[in-house]
Formats: sequence, structure tokens, C-alpha cells
Amino acid sequence: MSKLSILTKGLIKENPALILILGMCPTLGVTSSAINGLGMGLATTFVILLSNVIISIIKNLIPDNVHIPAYIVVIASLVTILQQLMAAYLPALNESLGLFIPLIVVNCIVLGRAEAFASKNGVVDSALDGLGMGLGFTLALTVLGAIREVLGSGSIFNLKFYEGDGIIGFVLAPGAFLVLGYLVAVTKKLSKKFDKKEE
Amino acid sequence: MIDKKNPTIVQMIAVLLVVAAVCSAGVAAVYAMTKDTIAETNAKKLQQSLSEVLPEYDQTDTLTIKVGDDKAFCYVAKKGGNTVGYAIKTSNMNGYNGLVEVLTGFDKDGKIINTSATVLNETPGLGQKALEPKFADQFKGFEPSKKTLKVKKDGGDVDAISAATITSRAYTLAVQQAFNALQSHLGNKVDTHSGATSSANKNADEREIDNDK
Repeated sequence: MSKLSILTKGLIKENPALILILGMCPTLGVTSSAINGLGMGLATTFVILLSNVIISIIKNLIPDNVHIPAYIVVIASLVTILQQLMAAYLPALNESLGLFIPLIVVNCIVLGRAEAFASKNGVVDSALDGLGMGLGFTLALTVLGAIREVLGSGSIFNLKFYEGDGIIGFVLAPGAFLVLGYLVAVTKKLSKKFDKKEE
Repeated sequence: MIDKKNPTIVQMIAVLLVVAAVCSAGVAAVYAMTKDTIAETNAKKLQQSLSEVLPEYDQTDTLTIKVGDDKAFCYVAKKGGNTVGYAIKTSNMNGYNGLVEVLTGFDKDGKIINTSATVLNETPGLGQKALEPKFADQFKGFEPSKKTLKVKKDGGDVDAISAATITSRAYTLAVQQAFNALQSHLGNKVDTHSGATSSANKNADEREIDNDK
């Protein structure tokens, strides 16, 4: 697999949220606005990227029997560090994402990439994989958040373009499921197209 | 070296110990690095909220007021040694997403100057509209002694945000809690302060009598 395809496979072909359907809790929970989706995506990218790098470095020192607890300690520490950094430098975003930041620890994508990729590949490839997966997750969350914000609040990235109320349902949970469903369908279609091209 | 497939128990323990120790060191280092910035950010935010809800002041005293099981944190604003107002922080779990915390500023006669939400994590586009002037400005100059701090649906004088009655109720309740705390503070305290406090004290007493009628 070329370096470029390791990086780009996370965007559409193996998009963690829309194709692998992982990390649904933040995907549905925080995407009521585009800025929240973007912030959550970038926060998760930070964790996946660093955890992939660290785990690919230490993978040969960890006995198989205890690799899960070791990986989880690494991931949990990274999330704690992230939370402290956000509280210090991005307090507003930290507040609006709230509990979802500490919950990155149990996001399946992070441990999933550690298990499926970083524990079997070198540092550079793992970093590219982490970055690609993180950006794919960010893309999915931002698009989902943007659609919900446009329809639900009549604004985009907090810029109001329509006075008055939007379609409230899209801000609430049902809107999240609805939009996610359509996004999954569109992405599946797109990824099939890419597959055919590659053949 | 460590045997990946068949490690001994000592090896496993050692590896986990080292991983945990290194990770803790990393977390501790970042904590030490960000501690001051976080404290500064929080202090700045509090100052900002206080200046929104209080008249001009040059110093604040802090005290905790207990009303039943509830505790309220109170900032007594003073200018030139005279009490000019009170900012009371109250919270309840009645919001749509749980915790709602509001800082309510009163002048020395118990009239609300302004309110400021310090914790409000409601639904964007619905409950979060409590931050907008249409709802929040209702509390400016609100006199809890003459009007009722409840949403109109519950027989009060506060216009609820449309489709977000739960948030409106929680926010209004927090303001009511602040007023209760202020009343119990002014009513029960042995007067050690300036004349301003004692006149407020008298007003509070009168108000109670009014309410009894």
C-alpha cells in the first residue's frame, strides 16, 4: 500500500464514521453545529495520531497478554492531556463539547486503529493512518454538523443567514440519525465508485 | 528481553508498571504546565460575569449562604467600603441537559441588575437561546419582590423561550434560588456592615411582610 493511500483511505473508502460505523456516540451527540463537529473531530484526530505513533513505537516491548491495558493507559493519558490543554487554551470549545472529550478514551476508532494498524506497522505508516482516520472522522462530523446546523438553526459555523427558527428536529437527536443515514448511503455509493476505478 | 508470546508474570507486571509510570509523568507534566493558564482563564471568566451583573465596584467579599439543603455562593460587591450589590451563583439540575448555573446580580435593595449563565449546555437553537437578549434581558431590572419569578405557564412573569420551557424553568429557578439566598442572607445576618446593608436589611424585612399579606 502506498503512503498516500494509507493517508487517504480514511477519508472516504474506510471512513471510520460513515463506512466502518465506529464512534457513533460523539458522531450523533455533538454534531448539532458545524463548529462542534469540527472541534470534536480535530480533538479525536489529535488522540488517534499520537496514540498510533506511541503504540507503534512501543509495540515490540508489550507482551501480547497485556497489550490492551497498556494501550488503554496510553490512550487515556493522551485524552487527559488533551482535556487539560483544551481547558487552558480553548475553554469555550471545551465547555460546549463537555463530557464527549473524556469519552474519546472509549471511542472504538482509537483502540481500533491501535489494534488493527499501529500494532503491526511502522511509525511513519501508523502516523499517516492515524492522521487519515482522524481527518476522515473530522470530515464526517463537520459535514453532519453543517447539514444539521443549516437545516436546524439557519446558520453555518455560527454565521446566521436566515432569521427566525430552523427545523428544530434537525438539531435534536432524530435529525442526527436521519442525516447520518443519508450520509452513510452517499458515502457507500462514492466508495463503490472509487473501488471500481481502482480495479 | 521481553518475550512477546509467552511472557513471565514479572515481565507483564514490569511492562504495565513502566507504561503507567511514564504516562502518569506525562499527564503530571502537562498539568503543571497548564495549571496556571486554566486558573487564569477561570478567574477572567468569573470577573467578566461579575462585571456583567454588578454595578461598578472596587472589591468583592465572598461568602456561602445556606438555604435548606442548597448552598449559594455570594459575592458582595463594595465600593469605597459601602455595599453596592450582590452577585449570587446558584445552580440546579433541572436543565434539559442537567446542570444550569446562573450568576444573578442584585443591587442593594434586592432588585435584579442582570443575570449571566455560567454553565448552560442546552440544545443549540433551543435551550441555548436563553443566552439571547430576548430571554435574558427580561431579568434586567426585575423586582422579585413585586413580580413572580416563574415562567408564564406556571403563573409567573417570565416569558419562556418558545419550545424550550424546561430550560426557561431551570434558568428562572436558579434566579429564584439566588433571590431566596439573598433574602435569607439579609434577613438572618447580624449586621456588621455599613449603613447600606442595614437599609437593604430593612427593605428585605418589609418585603417579607408584603409577601405575607
